[in-house]
Amino acid sequence: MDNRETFKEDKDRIINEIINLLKHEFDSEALLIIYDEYTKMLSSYLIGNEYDKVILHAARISEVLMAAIYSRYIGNKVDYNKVYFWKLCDALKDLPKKCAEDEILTLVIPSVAESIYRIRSKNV
Amino acid sequence: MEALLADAEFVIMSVIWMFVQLIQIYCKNNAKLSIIIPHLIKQPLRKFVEQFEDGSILMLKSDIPIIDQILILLYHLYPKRVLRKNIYKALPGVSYKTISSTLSKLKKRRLIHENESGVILSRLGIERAENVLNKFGYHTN
Repeated sequence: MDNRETFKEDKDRIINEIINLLKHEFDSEALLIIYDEYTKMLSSYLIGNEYDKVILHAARISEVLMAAIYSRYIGNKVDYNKVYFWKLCDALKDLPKKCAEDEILTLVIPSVAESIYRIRSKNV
Repeated sequence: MEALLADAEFVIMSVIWMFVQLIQIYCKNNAKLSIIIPHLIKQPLRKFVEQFEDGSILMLKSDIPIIDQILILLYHLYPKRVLRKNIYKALPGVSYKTISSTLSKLKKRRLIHENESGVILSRLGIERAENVLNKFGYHTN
């Protein structure tokens, strides 16, 4: 096996570990979209130096992640092709924070996702 | 361009930061955490080619076959043509003879085209370079 295959296997193994950790908590369709966008985001950066595409993929990850967190709390599945990002972030931030986990999922992560989205808006 | 690069690097690290938070919440196994988190953080640093302010280039990945290094280099710079002497400079430690013979092989396989302005990938060459990159797990479209 050459080191290209080892590198890819290593990367795939870690990504699978992450998906396995999160699949019981989040919708699997969302995880697959996020995985796909993450790979494309890194590829745009590493291979093509296509920085505008990096930002678009990161914004899409933020969008789908917010929808997945929202679904986890509210129970309704969100259509990942029609995500009202700012509305979802506001709804998440308005949820009661009963523990540290709620604080991170519904306040801290949405704030970071909003920063990514603002950078996308600045560059579009 | 530099401002856009700063934005791109910021959003990549922000995405990774969000993933690390999620993993920390749901992974209670410290041994796993100590493997996954460093992997995620180091991932964006695995750039193949670096371009400097004077326009010179450097192939960062040296542990793969020379033929793949040249394909990745030309793919990275496409559609610019690259002079042989600049390919030589981009691959320190590789002899001019090795680079010349590798370029000859690529030419015979119709993977590159060369004229006085330098070397460029052909359509076949782009396809081959994308295959090499896909082996690393990177999407090229």
